[in-house]
Amino acid sequence: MSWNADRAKTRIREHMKTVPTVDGNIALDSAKAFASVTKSGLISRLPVRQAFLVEGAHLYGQLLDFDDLVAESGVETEASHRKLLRFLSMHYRVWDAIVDGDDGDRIDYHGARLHAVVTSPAGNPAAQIAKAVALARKLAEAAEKLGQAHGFPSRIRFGIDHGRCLAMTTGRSHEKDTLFLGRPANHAAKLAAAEQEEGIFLTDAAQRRAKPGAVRKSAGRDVLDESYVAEAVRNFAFDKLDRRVAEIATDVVEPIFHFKRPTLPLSNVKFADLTPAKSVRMGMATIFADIDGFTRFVDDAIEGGADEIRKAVTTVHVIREELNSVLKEDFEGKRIRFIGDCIHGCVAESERVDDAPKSVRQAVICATAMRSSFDLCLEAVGSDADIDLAVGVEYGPTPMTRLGYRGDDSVRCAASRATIDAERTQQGIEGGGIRLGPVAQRVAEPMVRKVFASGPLMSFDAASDLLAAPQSPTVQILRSEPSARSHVISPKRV
Amino acid sequence: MSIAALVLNAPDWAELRLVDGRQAEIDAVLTRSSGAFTRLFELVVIHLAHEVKVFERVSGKMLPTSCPDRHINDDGSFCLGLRAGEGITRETAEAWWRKLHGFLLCQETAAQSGFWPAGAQISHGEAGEIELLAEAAADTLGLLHAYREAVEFDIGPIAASLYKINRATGLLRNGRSACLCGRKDRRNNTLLRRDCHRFSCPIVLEHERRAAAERFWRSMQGRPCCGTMRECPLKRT
Repeated sequence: MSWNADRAKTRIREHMKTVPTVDGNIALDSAKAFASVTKSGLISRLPVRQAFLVEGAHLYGQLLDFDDLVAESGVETEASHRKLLRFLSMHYRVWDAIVDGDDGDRIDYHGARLHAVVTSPAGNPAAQIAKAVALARKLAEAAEKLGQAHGFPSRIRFGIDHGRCLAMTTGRSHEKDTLFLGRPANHAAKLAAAEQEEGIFLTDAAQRRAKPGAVRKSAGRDVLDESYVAEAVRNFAFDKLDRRVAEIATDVVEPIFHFKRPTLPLSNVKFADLTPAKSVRMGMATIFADIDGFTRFVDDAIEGGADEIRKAVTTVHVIREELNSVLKEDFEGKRIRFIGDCIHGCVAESERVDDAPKSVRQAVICATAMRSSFDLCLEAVGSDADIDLAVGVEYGPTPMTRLGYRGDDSVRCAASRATIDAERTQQGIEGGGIRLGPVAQRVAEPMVRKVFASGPLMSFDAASDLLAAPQSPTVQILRSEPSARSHVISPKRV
Repeated sequence: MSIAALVLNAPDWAELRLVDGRQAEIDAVLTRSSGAFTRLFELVVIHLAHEVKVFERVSGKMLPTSCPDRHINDDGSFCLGLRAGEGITRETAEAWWRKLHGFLLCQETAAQSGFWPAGAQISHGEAGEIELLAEAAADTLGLLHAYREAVEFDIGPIAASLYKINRATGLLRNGRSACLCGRKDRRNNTLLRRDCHRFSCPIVLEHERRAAAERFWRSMQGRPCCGTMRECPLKRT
């Protein structure tokens, strides 16, 4: 299967029919509507195909030791991946305790990153930020306690921002994702990933909205005042979290991870079938495709009111559904999850053993097909938004499994050096474009390396010609007419 | 005769407009890998002396007025292949159209990516003739892939052997050693380097090709660069 313009257009028309509905009074009433569906504390139970505006504090936590656990002595092995997944499983079990709470908060995680949205107490930004700070401190303490009990490092860096985000849930069963789009989620994530120093950090916006005195200067830097943190922890108890930590600390039974090689194509892998004991692992190319400029676009829409929000919801829904279709239907890849406006997926090509050059090549052609579909999406929704597509690709052995307690809502996980580096590579792209991670560059075919190592993301048609894909008409012409090779005569003969 | 032969064999994607004995106007829209169409190319094919040449009807409208790496000659004519416009008859007209088809598709790819598909071109000027000779020689030795790697990416065993060429003679040094291309005689003994070049050694020919390509680009120095290709040597001059 490959990308086809007419098929993509047909799909996009179908995606247009499933755009989440947006309340006409969204800008005014969304807080009320949101509160009514978050009684369970799990926003993934929020009605699918509906979009909301959510005001609250966004807390991102980054497990700083994740990178060091990926490999042992520089090599990724089944043993190192087992250890990595046990490490994640331990943290996810703690984080699940918050999900199981009933205080109207939302938590989600992917790889080494946790994202919590604190929406209570409603209408009180300073208290929401204080609650996020208390939660961060509790999680840091919990991680330390569990780390000691289970022999894992446990440093976490937290970033907190506050404001309004656009929330929408799509997907079914084990493949469901809730997205928070807009500045607060984005800035909190960036702050958490910015440095290797552990602790709790507030963005400028969060500092302005926090209780006066929350932040003080120390050695020229803004740091949280310890008395403010202590007061926040006193005011917001997370009893369930404490109980869960105590339970896990004494729990000697840990999940046992067994890996088998998946039967290709990867699109056949169902997360519903995966458990720690039935995990899959093989060499595959990881793709992170992110919509550059989307946070600004959503922020402008939120400021612009219901009509603009409706347009933004339509744009993101159609683009991400189509990117998913390209990955799954056209290139038989596997979507791991949507992360905000980004899609994280994997593609693999192999006979019996891993085929790194072919997998990277397939990922690159898939990225160019995403680019072509992205352009068709903008055309279909009539958007003149200043947004672009940025794709990072990396290759390496990667396990896939489900972690956590949550049954249908357990966390889909693909974690490896390739996963980390694909995301970092994508984040390093200025504007739109494509970039290959260091391993992908090393293993790629020479033409892939020459044209796609770093630069603009061209159309599928151009990529097919340059990589001599079998469906390329240029390739077919050369096969039937080998002398159809262009040339320029020397100027002296002119 | 040539124009008549082309008109008789015109494919579906080419719409012939004004036609007379010496020239024909062509509008071309082609289908790409995804099923999407190319832009409309407005072309004119002219019979000049012993060959036919094809140009954009309005020079510079969609394509550069001239650019070696886009395979457009100084006079704006397209280079569809080595001697592609010579001796067009009813028998060869179909091949000419296929070459134009491939050329226009590659123009779209080059416009979007800044690269010409590697397998769809040969070196400029006299280096092109040497490249074809070297390819044929490499093919007989089972080294065609290695030769293409040397030309396109400067990697592989042939590219790695080039540093053993004596620049003064253009031949491999240490003539009494076995040739690096591995050519064997009738007794299955590897030929000596000093003997191999008489049979078109692909390593020696690649050295010659590179020298010829350098001469070509030196002769182009000072010409304006259209700025559409990512690795065009004219950008640096």
